[in-house]
Amino acid sequence: MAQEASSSTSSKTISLKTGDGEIFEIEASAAKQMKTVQRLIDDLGDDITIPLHNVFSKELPKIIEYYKKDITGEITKDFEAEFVKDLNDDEVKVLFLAANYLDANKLFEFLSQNIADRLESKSVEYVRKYFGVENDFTPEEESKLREERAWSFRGIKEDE
Amino acid sequence: MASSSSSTPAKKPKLKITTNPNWLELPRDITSNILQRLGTVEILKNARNVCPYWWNICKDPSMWRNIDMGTVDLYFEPAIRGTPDLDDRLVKMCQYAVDLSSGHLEKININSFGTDALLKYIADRASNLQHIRLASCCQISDEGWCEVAKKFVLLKEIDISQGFQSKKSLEVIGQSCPLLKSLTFNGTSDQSLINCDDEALIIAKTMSGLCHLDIHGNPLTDVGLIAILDGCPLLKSLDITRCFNLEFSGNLWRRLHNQIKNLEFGLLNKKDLEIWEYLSESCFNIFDSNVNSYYEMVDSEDEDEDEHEDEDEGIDDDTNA
Repeated sequence: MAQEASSSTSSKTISLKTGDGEIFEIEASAAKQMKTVQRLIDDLGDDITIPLHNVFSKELPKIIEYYKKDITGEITKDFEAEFVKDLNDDEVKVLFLAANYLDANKLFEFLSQNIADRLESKSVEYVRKYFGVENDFTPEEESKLREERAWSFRGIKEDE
Repeated sequence: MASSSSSTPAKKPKLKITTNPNWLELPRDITSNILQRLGTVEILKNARNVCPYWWNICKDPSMWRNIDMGTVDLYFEPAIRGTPDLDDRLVKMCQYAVDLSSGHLEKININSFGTDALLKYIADRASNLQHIRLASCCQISDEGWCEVAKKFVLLKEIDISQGFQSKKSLEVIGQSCPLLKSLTFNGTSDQSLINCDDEALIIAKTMSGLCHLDIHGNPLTDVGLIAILDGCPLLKSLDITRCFNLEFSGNLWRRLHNQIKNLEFGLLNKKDLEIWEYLSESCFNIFDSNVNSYYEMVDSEDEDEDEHEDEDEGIDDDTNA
């Protein structure tokens, strides 16, 4: 019964360091789900604390929480509903961008859907505010828009 | 912790975010990922009007692989409800979206406003279409399908729920769509109790690749069902709700259960209590307490039935062999 050096990735943890200097632990199998992290591990080795310059201590724990559930196969609709329930629009945005940066596909798709759900049936003005976008159509562009909308819903206010 | 000589990752991250993320800097495919999830009407009416950048993204054919105008809610949305010529406008909107897809359209879902002309419009421009749903489109006729079916050779999934198509449409579809894996074909005509296997036989003969079939309300008999089981060996999912002419004679029920993994049948024939009891004995765990109330609901809906007394006896009599 020779004692083998434990090299199973499932029990190994990786250290992640956020942009604001905090360190979090994550299971190696969860880290695999975040392709950016995995690439960093491949480059730097898994004994090193992996620096994540663009992710911060506010959002990383939530991301870790998601993938902790994922590796045990426990992500259900209820879990997902609960996960986003108390997040305000800004928090969802930040998480979404972090998931994009980390190349964490499952979380990314989930949050993308959640954002779409938050925008559904909202007015153009609301969406602009949500994304912090200005209405920078020129007057010429505006009139071109109206032309193209042959099926426009005349008489219906679009901005509420 | 050794410091590595090269600390640059193999690939650059997709987006460098600052403390105030500017959504306009998001790569197109990210924004498009979100926007595509909004329904077609939502995109055309709101999302693309937000700013020129989004207007531009929404013109990208990749945004239009899936046109979803399939929710009935559409007709009740405050902004849309009461608009004159609503159906015409929805048709135009759909055509516009089909144009934007530039031949990349793969999936389309339409509820109510579909017409033969629209179907032709789609067929002429979406040869790559794989999934089509035309729910409650009473303006689409057999002639409409006969004209276009041969252009839809890549169709894998066809859903014509609550439509007025007859076996003529089924014939052309069977002939033209060799890749068909899923068919939903149930008409609005009230379930006819006159035995008719025409449609079932067409399906059995021409749609051998079917994995999912929903023919609820169909007038087929055991003959038709056996033909389907024989002719569609890949069939795993079947909906025969309200197919009242089925009798499941011989070992048909057992065969059905063996071949079909996902079987929907609702209440088969409320007049035929022998089946009811046979099924209970077979113990396929299909009955739960909901069934009785459904039975009562169906019972109270249909005042033409003249065997209420028998049925009442049947429900209460569990020990009847």
